[in-house]
Amino acid sequence: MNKNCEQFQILLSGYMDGELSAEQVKQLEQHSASCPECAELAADLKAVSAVTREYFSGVRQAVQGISIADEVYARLEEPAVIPMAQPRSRNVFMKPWFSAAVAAGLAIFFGFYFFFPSGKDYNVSQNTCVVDSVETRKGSVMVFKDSATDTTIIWLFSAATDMTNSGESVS
Amino acid sequence: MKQTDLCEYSDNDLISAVREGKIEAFDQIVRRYESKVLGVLYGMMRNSDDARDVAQDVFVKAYKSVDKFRGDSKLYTWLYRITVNMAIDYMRKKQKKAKVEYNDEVKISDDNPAVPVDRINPSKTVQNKELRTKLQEAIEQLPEEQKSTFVLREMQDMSYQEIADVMNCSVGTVMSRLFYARKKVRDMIKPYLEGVS
Repeated sequence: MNKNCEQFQILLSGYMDGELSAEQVKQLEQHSASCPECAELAADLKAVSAVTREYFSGVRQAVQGISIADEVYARLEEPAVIPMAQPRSRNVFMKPWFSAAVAAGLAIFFGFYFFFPSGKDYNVSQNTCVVDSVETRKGSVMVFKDSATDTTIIWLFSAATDMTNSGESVS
Repeated sequence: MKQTDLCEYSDNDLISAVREGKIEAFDQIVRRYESKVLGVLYGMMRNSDDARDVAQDVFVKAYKSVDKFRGDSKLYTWLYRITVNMAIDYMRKKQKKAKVEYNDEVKISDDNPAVPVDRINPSKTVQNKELRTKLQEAIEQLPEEQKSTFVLREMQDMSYQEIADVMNCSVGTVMSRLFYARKKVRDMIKPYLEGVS
């Protein structure tokens, strides 16, 4: 095989299948006339194609009697599979509203804690009721309404201590 | 809509009817092209059960993605593209799991041999059975892209341009893949090629 053979051999399939230009055909035929190795390969590839086509002809005949149309039709008529919804997370700590609530609670807590650090003692009467409350891990904020004195009481409870920490009253 | 009416529809008319929700039109497409799709798959996969399964998947996928068919290419080119891609995917997945089974071959009886005895060597029936087996093994061992190109050319007699459209490659690549595929097959069956022209 000379150094030009490879560039001609790659054209052999195109030559067999009638896919080459006239110029390529001419060059390939000139080369093959002087190169027994390429001529032999061309003959072999032609034989491979002939044998394969005969084989595939048998495959085509074997396939002729087979139909998958009914199976395909049945599959197309199946109700579309609706993807199951992902199970909702039961972890309340992952909820967006939980983060917002914690942030709001902490803001209120620290706001009162730092700006009203020394609340006066206040005795809660029996007419007091809880209006609102926010609990966090660091403590709680409770808002009372004392109807007897018409006073709003805000209690800040630190989680580290008991419920006697502080109290603020707003009239 | 009757099937007999649909038989007269062109491919484009059938596609339009499918897009309008007429499932019978797609059934007609299946019946029109199932032999071609099955032929390619049997040629590439040898395992008849696998070929049937993948053929069904091909048509189900085509139905679900019919809106993606723009009509730039012919319907059968589009179907062949889906077929080849799904066959390659399937074979790659299967190769990862286990070696391909050689016993479950395409069922071609000796009464209807794929390679007719008298065309090759009338006096050597056994040798022709061996040739058939060797040929199947040789095709089986081709790289997927070469195998697809080889089957589309030798079984479906598609032009290089049509194969290039299906395989989404250049005509030069088709020619190159065909050459190497035929050469590899030649190397495996050369002892049986004597007298074949």
